Amino acid sequence: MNFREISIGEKITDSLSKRESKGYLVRVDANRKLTIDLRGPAGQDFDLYIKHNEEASTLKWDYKRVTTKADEIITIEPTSAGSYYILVYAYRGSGQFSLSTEVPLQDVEIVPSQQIKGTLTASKEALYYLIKTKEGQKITLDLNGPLNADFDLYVRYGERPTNINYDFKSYSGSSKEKIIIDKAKRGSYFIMVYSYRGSGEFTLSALPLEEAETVELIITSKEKLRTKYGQAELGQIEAKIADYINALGTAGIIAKLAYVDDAASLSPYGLSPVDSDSPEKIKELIDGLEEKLNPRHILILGGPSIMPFFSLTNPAGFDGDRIVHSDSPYASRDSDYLIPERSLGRLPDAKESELPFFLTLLSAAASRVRRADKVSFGMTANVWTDASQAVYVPIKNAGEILELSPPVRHGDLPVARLNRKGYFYFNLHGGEDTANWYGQEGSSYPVAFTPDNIQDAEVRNAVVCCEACYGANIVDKGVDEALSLKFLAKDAACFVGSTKIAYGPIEPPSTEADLLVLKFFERIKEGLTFGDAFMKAKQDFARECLAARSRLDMTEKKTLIEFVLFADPSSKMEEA
Amino acid sequence: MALTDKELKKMIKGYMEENSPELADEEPVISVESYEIPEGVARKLGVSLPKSAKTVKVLTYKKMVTAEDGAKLPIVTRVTVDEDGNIIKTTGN
Repeated sequence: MNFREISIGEKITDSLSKRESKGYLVRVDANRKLTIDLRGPAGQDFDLYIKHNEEASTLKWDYKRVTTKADEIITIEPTSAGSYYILVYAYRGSGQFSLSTEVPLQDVEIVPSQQIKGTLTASKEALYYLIKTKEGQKITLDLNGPLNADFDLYVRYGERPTNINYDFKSYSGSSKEKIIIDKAKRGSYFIMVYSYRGSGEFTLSALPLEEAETVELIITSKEKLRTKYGQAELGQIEAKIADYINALGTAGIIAKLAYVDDAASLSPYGLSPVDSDSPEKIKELIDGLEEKLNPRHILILGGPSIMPFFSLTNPAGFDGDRIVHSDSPYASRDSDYLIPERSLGRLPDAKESELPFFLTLLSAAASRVRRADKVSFGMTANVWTDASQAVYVPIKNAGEILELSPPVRHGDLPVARLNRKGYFYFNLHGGEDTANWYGQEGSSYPVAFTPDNIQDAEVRNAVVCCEACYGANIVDKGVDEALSLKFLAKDAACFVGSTKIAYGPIEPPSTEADLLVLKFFERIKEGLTFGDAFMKAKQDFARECLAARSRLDMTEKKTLIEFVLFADPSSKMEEA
Repeated sequence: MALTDKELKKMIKGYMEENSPELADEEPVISVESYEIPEGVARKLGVSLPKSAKTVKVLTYKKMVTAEDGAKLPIVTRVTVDEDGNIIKTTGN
């Protein structure tokens, strides 16, 4: 089929006969928001299919909208650089339609150590970015554009710069520009890349911010640890924490340990102990410690018997979960806990008889190097095959396939199939009172994955994401009673999962748990720390939901609060 | 005139029989949900949102099924409809 190239912002009018399709393509930069709007004849049924860098068809697509109407709209955010192929298909009826695309001007956030690519297509064009900074940080921005053009760089605090209104400017006769801000203010700096003359591709990077200090706040309960494990065992735990703090110091991170119920550890900050059973009081304490320490990352040590989850009202009532166990309020600076603002993770313990598990977890965190092969393992319930394929994309390598259950059952997986995988993805069923995860086809729910599957497997440093209901439920669980704990016991670096009933689609586009896990994988692949990737993934998720439908519905809100991160938030995946 | 709950259930029954047959015979709970976005969400994400809140109805179908090993698993399908009974979203676990 011939796909006709159209321009962003161009509105075309065409017509289709019944069951006919026509193709178009648009070229877009990375990290933009692309909206494709189809308006068809009333009373008919036209569908929209989109594929990146490949011709779209009704069978091959990355995005589709196939309601029973002729009006369809798809928003893609963030885009990947390249061409989006658009197929308009007259499923029922015929008639005229219009098709338009839009990429609104918006600021793309650039994070430290990230390099962004962009394209200015003509002279006097501009693209905008922003970088969030802390008080006193040093920012270095580097722009590299085409040799035969003249691109300039402008920066302004708090709002978009223009050629006239800016705080910093770099404008030589070339496209190579640099701006250094020695002592940034806390907030956002807006960046403009401007083509004074010419066009072409450029890269913009924010070199690693030189901070006054990078701090990780480690927070736990001394009394709860002592009561659960005993005085001598508390000494062993504290020794492991000390090793972890030293390891962070070697990596240039200053770790501050704060016991929520110990006056000696809080008095240097002018703060007092709080009730260790009260997540609200603990959150207030974290807020107070953040004002004093300005931590880059926050690590909660211990499971819910040491440091409680919040018990939040289930937004999606009537599904059987009265409350949702969540760390979301700890990751938020205010009471609007849906959107996290902190890089926060939890390293959980298990039952009191399983102290060796907790000690091993702390030792693994101290090792700091979480290197693993970039190969992956994925498994899905058969009924969700299409939906899971879309989520698997960022971590899937050539030749790797998703295991479907059924027909695959837990006994069909040899250890070799799981060994030395850097990424694990599961889209299976789960239950509150079972450690196993299950497939589905029709009314058949076979056992797909169990803790025994990884008993002898080498899963060290793996990143594990699971969409199963109760996949991260660790309340009153031992290591062999929760796959999340089992993976951590086998030295997996990171586990992302849901504490309660989780939701998702049968087919793409990705929504709810599918969308959140997809965004997390994308952020991990960018090289972010586990804590930053999890925080950004939730922000990306919310933005995408709002862009698509101008709302966050109840299952989307539940997704935001029920997914938790079991990992050291300052650590990250290093692909071997 | 707004659809009654009885009319809604009847309208959605066909969809459930085709797409979630294991839940089609379950009696759904019908709830009204209003999509108001907290100010903090808009502020934190740097987006501007419409001030009017959209109200929809949600039919929640739920049952427990037994897995191969005897474990009890929750199966839920939520169907969101507008005031005319048009399905605007379905999701399940």
